[in-house]
Amino acid sequence: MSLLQVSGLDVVLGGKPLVRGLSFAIGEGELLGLIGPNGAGKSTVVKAIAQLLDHGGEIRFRGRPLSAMPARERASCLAYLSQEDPVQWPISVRDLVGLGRHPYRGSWWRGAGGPRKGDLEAIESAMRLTDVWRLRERRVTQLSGGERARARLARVLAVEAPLILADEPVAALDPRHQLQVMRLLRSACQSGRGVLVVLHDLTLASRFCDRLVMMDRGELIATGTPSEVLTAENLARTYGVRAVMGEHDGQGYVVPWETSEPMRS
Amino acid sequence: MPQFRFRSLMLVLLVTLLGLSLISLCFGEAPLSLGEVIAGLLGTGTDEQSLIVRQIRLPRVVLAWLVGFSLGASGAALQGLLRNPLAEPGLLGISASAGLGAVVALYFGLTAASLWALPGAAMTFALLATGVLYALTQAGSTNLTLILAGIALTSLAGALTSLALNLAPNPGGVQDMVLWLLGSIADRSFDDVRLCLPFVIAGLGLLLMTGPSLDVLALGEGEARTLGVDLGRLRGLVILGSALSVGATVAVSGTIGFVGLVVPHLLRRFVDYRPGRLLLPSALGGAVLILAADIAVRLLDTPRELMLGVVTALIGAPFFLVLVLRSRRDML
Amino acid sequence: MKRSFIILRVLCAFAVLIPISAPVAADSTDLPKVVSTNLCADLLLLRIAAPEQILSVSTQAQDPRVSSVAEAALAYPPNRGGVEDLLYLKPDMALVYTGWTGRRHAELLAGRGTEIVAMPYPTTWTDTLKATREMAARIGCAEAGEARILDAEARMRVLRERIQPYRVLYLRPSGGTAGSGTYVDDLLRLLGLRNVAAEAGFAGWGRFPLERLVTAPPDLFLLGYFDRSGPGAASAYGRHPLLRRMLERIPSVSVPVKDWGCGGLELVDAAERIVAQIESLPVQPSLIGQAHP
Repeated sequence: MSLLQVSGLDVVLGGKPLVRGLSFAIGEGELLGLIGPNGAGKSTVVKAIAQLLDHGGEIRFRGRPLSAMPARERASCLAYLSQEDPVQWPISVRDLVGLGRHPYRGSWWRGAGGPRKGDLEAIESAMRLTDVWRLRERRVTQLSGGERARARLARVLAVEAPLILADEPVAALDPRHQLQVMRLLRSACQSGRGVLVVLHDLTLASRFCDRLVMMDRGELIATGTPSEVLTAENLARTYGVRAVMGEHDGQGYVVPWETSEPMRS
Repeated sequence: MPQFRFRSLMLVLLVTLLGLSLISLCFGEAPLSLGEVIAGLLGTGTDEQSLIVRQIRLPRVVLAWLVGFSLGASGAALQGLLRNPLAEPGLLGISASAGLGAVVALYFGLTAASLWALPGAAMTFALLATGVLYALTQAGSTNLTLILAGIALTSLAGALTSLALNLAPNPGGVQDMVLWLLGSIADRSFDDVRLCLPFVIAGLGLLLMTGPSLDVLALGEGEARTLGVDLGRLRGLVILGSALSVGATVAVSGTIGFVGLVVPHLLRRFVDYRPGRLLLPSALGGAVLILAADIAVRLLDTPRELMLGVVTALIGAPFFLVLVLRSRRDML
Repeated sequence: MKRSFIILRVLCAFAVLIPISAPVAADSTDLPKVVSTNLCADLLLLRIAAPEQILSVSTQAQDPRVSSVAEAALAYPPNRGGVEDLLYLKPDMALVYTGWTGRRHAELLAGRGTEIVAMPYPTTWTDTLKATREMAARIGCAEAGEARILDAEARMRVLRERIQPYRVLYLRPSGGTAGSGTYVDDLLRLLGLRNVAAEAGFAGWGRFPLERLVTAPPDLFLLGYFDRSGPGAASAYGRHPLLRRMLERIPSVSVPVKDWGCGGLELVDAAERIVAQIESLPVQPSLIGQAHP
């Protein structure tokens, strides 16, 4: 049984269909890349899986429909990293990561108490994995873009959920931090977790993902291994680009080189 | 370590609050010594002393606590919910709307049916105002539109209050208008305390329940929801809690501004900027500020006693300006 | 707006009494046409002026909730005291509030044939008589004015010394009282009463702290506007259980006149009724207050 099974997903927002009949699955230990041009509906798919949007079709986690699951239980099954970075208050990195333990918190009156022992371990290991342990007393607002992205990823890892949904976690990061974050997601899969990651960088998608789902205008275009999906024809069809493709050390790279047709509006 | 800091912060606030309460009990027209005040409080002094301390000065102190708790906790909760350091019951027009409700109940004879109509009307109007503001933020408004909406609500409620006072069967005077627009806790009795106490307790209870969820909301609404935060319930708790506590206290004290803005802002750094952690210290801090302002009102040698809202505005308005300038810089 | 005396009190701080030289008109057709724009001026005008010289009175005068002359006032078109009202009515003379509004009116209407007269705000009965005399002369009704003044003086004289020198506290629901330098204080003394507020050192229109009530209760309360505050008197002071209990214990009379905020000739009406009320109290106030002054 796959970890997550999405079948016939439909999302309509304000009378406009954003996603139509999308189906795919994520297995345990699998890093799945979701790619497609701007406006393809990638973020919408992620939000629908996270139950942040009303949707048609079925989304099953280990065979159970996610929408029927109590919010609290669902919170420990999937962890969501949103695209925007809206942390409002200058809380410390430690507190930020600690928020990932919210699903395991007791009743509200225990809120004043500190995190429990198991929580502390999860928080520390998440921070060490993402290399933000030394930043733990710093304020989130004082971090650089790369540091903040890693801290937010640590928050997601601290949930210790079997499924991670990451919406463009490497956008706005420099190449070094992009590689670092992708390696982290890769290693997160090794413990049997499944990761769905939305990406724009096709080389990162090709190098790190086990499988890719390519979509355009709300519909599935192709799914399969990176080499199956990232074909010249698919790239021209969905992105409207011609790319330089090749292999280095046994891993594929894709560098968009020029537009293959006049830009769509 | 953070736990220790939190506890020492609470201890400092509590000691300050009790100290100021005692000071407040010692100030008044009748020259009573500290010993006489304590004797009056315990009922071991003369009749005159215990009348003055227990029935004139003590209700005033208790009311300062309640008003401060309500404004401080609501300010912190609204800031957490709206993710906006400028949110505050006074600025957003919640207090002014509650004042309008109180005026309508008082001057149009609703209180003749039941005295509870007074806090009831105030809370209803506060609830309406909070609901409108929330609907606005849901429609995707920015800090700016939220504050502007608050200003509009405040002046509308203020204008309607004046109108109501003029149209009422028993016309109120300029002084009544000043009371509802600027607030005061002078000459209050335990009758007034009783009238708002149950609602303040209920409202504070609801607000304090939101702590952990408000912390998580720092991540943004989407991530907070995937962490199991029931956003609808959270909104309901904050809106209802603020409306109950602020509405009920405004019904007996008039509108007192800026407390909910200044107090959370001053205390935020001591709770590591966690919005949920801020609730309890803010409530205590609000009471400290109201008590201090109320003592100042009596100490300042003005020909007539100043309104409490005048003093809080004198402290709060410059604060607000600095905050606006700073948040503008952050947003640009 | 309704409790005109409050505004008046504020404005009177800026009062500049216009020096008066009184031309006396020979017969009533030559009398200057007059408009009054506030309750206090209305009271004066309706008592002294010839009906045909009154062009308009203020809307407040027609409101029976605040005016004791509402019925008489209904005979005249009302105005709200704006410059436009005055331009339209074209009176020879307009009686206005002292202070800013009066000055503005005077500036705007200068050279348009309307003389702006600011109402004086008396602080003693002697002042009241003097001001009434001056105003009467100004509107050309010196004789009618003098008759009313003599009558009022005589009535006031009769009232003196009719009652014991009780210690009286004047109170409004907001806790407001009248200290020395107010016409209330002067009136109380004229009647042979002692004003607790003035004796406690209060000057002008201040507040009488609740705590003072406990330490130095008066023999008698004189309550102003308590009838107006309705069931849930907006003012916490007026609702305070301590005051309520005192009012059960200590006799009180209320000011029986609605428009007692002007300090005009109508004070004598108020005085007569206050004295009558005190005399008809079921239990005469005790003079315990005298024991510890």
